[in-house]
Amino acid sequence: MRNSRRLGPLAVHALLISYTIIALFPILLIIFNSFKSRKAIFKSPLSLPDANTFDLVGFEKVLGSSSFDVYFLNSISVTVMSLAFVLVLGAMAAWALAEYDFPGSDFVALFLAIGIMIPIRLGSVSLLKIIVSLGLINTLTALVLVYTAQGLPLAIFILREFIAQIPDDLKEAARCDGVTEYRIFWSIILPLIRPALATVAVFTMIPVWNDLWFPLILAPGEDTATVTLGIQQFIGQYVTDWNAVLASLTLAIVPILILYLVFSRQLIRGLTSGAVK
Amino acid sequence: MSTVTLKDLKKTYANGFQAIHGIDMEIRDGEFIVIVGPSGCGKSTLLRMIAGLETITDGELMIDDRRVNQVEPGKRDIAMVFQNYALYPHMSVYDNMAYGLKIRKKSTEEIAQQVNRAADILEIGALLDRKPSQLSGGQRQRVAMGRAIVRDPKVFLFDEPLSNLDAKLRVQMRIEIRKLQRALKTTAIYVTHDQVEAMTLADRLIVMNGGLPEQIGSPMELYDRPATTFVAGFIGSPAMNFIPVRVDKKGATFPSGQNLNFSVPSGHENVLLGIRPEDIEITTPDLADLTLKVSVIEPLGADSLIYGSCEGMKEDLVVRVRDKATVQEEETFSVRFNQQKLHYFDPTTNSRLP
Repeated sequence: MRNSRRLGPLAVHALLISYTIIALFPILLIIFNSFKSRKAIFKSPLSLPDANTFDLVGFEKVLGSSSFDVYFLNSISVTVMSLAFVLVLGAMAAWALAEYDFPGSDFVALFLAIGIMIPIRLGSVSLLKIIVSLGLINTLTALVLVYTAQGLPLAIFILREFIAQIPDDLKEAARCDGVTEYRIFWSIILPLIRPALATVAVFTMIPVWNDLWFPLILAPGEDTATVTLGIQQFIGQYVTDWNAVLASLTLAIVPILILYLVFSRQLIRGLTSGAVK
Repeated sequence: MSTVTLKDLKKTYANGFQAIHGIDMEIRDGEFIVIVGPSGCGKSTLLRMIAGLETITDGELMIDDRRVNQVEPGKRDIAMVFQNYALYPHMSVYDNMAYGLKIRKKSTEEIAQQVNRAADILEIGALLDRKPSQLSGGQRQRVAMGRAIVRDPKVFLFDEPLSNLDAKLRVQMRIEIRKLQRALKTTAIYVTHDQVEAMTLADRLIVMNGGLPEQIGSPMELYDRPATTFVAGFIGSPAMNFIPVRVDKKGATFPSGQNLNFSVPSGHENVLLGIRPEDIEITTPDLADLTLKVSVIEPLGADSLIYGSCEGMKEDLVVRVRDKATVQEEETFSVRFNQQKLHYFDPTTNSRLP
C-alpha cells in the first residue's frame, strides 16, 4: 500500500526529469561547444570545454566582424514592440469582449478563435503583398505588425478568461466610486491580470524571437535583419562556421532568458487573493 | 442629507423577465430603509437600480430633486457597500479608501483628512498600510464601510453587507452600522434577507415578494399589523402560526372540529387565523382555546419553543414559553390565545381582514 503510493510520484518525477534532460540537452550542447575550438567541436562534441579546447574564436568573430549588434537591436525592438502591442491591445480587446455586450461581440470572439486555429503563415503571400503596397518592405514596422496580428488571438482568448474571473463587485465598486471605464481597465483590471499577462507575454515573445520566416520574406535587408536571420550568414552551402553559429545562438539565448525571468516573477504571484471573500 | 423618491419603478430584463413590478416610495432625509425578502424577490435588483448598476426600465428615480434615471453611478453621489466587500486587492487600505476621492480630484491634504477621520470612526487606523488580503473578514467589512464614509455621499447603499461574517461579528457590526448611520445622519438603504437585521436596523422596512413590495412600514407596524400572510410569516421568528378556520351558521370551528371561543370577521366561509408563538400561553383545560400534543421541545435558554400537533392540521403549532417548558414530549396540553393579538387573513387573497 505504502510502496504503491510512493511509486506514483516517483514515476512522475522520473518521467519529468528525463524529459527535462532531453529538452535541455541540445541547448547545453550549443552552449558547451560555443566555447570550444573548431577541432574540439568535431573531435568530442559531448565533452565540456577544458584548458586545451577552450576557445572564444566564435564570439570574437560574431561580436567583432559582423553587424550582430544591429541584428540584436532589431530582434529586441521587434520582440518588445510586438509584445507591448499584443499585451495592451489584447487586454483591451479581452476586457471589451468579457465585460460589454455589444452587437457583433459573438462574431468578433469567433473571428478571433479562428485566428488561433489557422496559422498566420498560410497568408504569407497576401501579407507580403499588403506590406509591399504599404511600402513597409524591409522595415521593422512590417514585422511588428505581423507579429502583433499573430499573437493577438490567443492572447485575447486567454486574457478574456482571466478578466471574466474578476468579481463583478470590484468593477461595480469602482463605478460607484466614479471611476471611468478606461480608468477601471488601467488601474483595476490590468494590475489584477498581471500573472495572466506574464503568461501571455512568455509564449508570445518566444515564437517572435525565434522566427526566421517573416524576417526572411518581409525584412531581409542588412539593416533590418534579426538575429535568427543574421545567423544564416555563417551557414554556407559548402562551409559552415560552427564556432560563429554556436556563439551567436548562445548569445541569442541571453536576452530572451532575461525577459523570461522578468515575466516569470509575475507568474508566481496570485494577486486576486483578498479581493472578495 | 438627502431624500430618495421612487415613482412606479420597474425593471424588465432583456429576456422578458420582470424583476420589479413597480414600486412607489418616498425615503426621507436621514432615514434608514431596509429592503427585506427571500432570495429572488428583486431586493438586490432594486438596490442596484438605485445605485445605477442596473438600468431602469420604467418609472422615475429621484435623489433630492434630481431625476437620476440616466445618471452614471459615480455621478449619483451614492456609496455602496458590497456583500463581498469588493476591496481593490492590489491597493492598501488607505488607497482603497482614498481612491474615490482621488478620482474626484480632491487635494492630497483633504484626502488624508477624510481617510483619517473615517479610520478613526471605524477604528481601523492601525490597518491603513495593509493589503486587503492581510485583513480578517470583520476588518475588511470596516474598510468597505470606510470607503463609503470618506466620500460623504448623499445615500449609503448596503447590499447584504453582513452575510459573510460569523454570527457574533454580525450582531456586533449590525449595532455599529446603526450607530454610525445615526451619527452621520446619512440616508441609508440596506438590503438583507435576514429578518432580525431588518427589524433591528430599519426606521422603515420594505418587505418584497416576487418583485412587488408586500408592505412598507416601521418594524413594529409590520410586526403588529402585517398586511399579508407573507409579511406575517416573514417578520418575526419563529414565524406566525396560521390556522385555517371554517365559518358556518353555527359558528367558527378549528380544523379539529372544535369551536372557537372568540368571534371572527364575518362574511367569509374560510378564514386564516394568525397567532404568533409568543401570543399563545399554556393554560388549564377549562380555559383552553385548543388542545395540542407535544411533538418537539426546543430549549433556547431564555425561553423554549414547544411544537404541538393538532388534529386536522398539517403543520405543528409553535408556542413560545418563558424559561423551561413545563410539559414533556408526547404529552397533551391546553393553550389559550391572546385575544388582542389575533390576526385574520383571507385565504384566497392572503391579505389581512380588518
